[in-house]
Amino acid sequence: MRMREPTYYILASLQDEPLHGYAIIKRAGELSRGQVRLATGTLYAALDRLAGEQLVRVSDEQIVNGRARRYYTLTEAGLVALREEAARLADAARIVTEHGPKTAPVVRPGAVPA
Amino acid sequence: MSAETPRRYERLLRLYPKAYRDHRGAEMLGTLMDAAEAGQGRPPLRETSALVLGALRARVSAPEGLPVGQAWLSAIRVAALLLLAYGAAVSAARAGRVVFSDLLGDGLRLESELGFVGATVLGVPALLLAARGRYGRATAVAGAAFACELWAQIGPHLQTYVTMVRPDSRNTTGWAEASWYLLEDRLADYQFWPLALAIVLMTPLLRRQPTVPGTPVWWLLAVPLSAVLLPTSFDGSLGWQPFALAAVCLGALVWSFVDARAALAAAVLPLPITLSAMGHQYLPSYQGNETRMTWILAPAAVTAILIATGAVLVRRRARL
Repeated sequence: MRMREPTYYILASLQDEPLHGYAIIKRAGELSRGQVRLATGTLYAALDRLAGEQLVRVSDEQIVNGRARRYYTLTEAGLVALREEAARLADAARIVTEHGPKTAPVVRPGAVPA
Repeated sequence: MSAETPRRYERLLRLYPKAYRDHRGAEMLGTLMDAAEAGQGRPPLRETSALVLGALRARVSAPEGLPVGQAWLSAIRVAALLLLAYGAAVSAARAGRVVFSDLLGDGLRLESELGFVGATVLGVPALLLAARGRYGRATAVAGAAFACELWAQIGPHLQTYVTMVRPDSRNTTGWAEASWYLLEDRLADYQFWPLALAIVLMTPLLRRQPTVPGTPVWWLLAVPLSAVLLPTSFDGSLGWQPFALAAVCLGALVWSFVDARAALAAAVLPLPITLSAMGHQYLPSYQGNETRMTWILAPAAVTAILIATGAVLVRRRARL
């Protein structure tokens, strides 16, 4: 299944270790070099869906400074889905990055091809 | 972070359903507070809109990740229900006059007018059956309602034909001409289209029956709402058109950001006006009449915008 960009970075942020909500927002921002700025409402809607698809799961619950925190971790299926999406993006990028310096001839309007 | 910030976020989180708040509320508030401590003052517009949208989606249980095909089928189901409700409202607006003014007043002017009552009486169960997912029976009952409506509409014209034309002139050609005239008359009337289009839209539902969410009885409310908000004889007396129809379509467009199927389903509502205006413009009986192209193009454009927006959003929501 194709992934939206925020979903990709949410899963990518959980590759190394389980993270809580705000840590996911920060990590996704860092990984995307500021391109993905997750709002809290968007993050939890995505986490609900990813948990429903069994791509992430809650690994721990803590109270820190009086605030409830759940830590999320990637499941095996989540890692597979993330790698498949990464491979798809890499394939798409390769079409451009591995393209030689050859440039197409310029066709001027009205010119008759030889 | 001001002391008011947690209260602002708590107020926003109260928009979510209680069950969701019990599960997620404390955790979301914690995350919002972490973000606020990192430099946010007032809840930013981006955060507020994401919370409002998330809360609305949670409240209406908008389906997440519905495959594109299923989303379209589900939208077709809602479109058929909207048209059935609209068809029942169109008949009810006329049936009200027949019952209260004629039957309970001066007496029935033409027997065929009872067709409006029959169409209303059949239209409502057709809507309920379709809402319960009994599409086969709903199509049959809607077909009977459509026949009643047709009988009521062409009855006066047949009466005139029989009265005005001498018996020796009523030959095959005469009947054929009269039938063609009556058909064109119906095609150019917007009241012909809601039930006809509903029956057409229910055809794909007969084979691939989509699931039935929610409480089907609530669909009955759509009948009086259609009578007031969509073009009907009743609404004609209020003079709200075309603004009420435009407002309904605009509402569906906005709501499609909560549930992407809303725009696709509502796209059928301007169709009766478009088809009727096309009939006035292009059918032979109406040649010579000046129909403004705006009456064809404006509702057609609204339908196109709703379908385009719905198609894009359905595709986007289908992605993970």
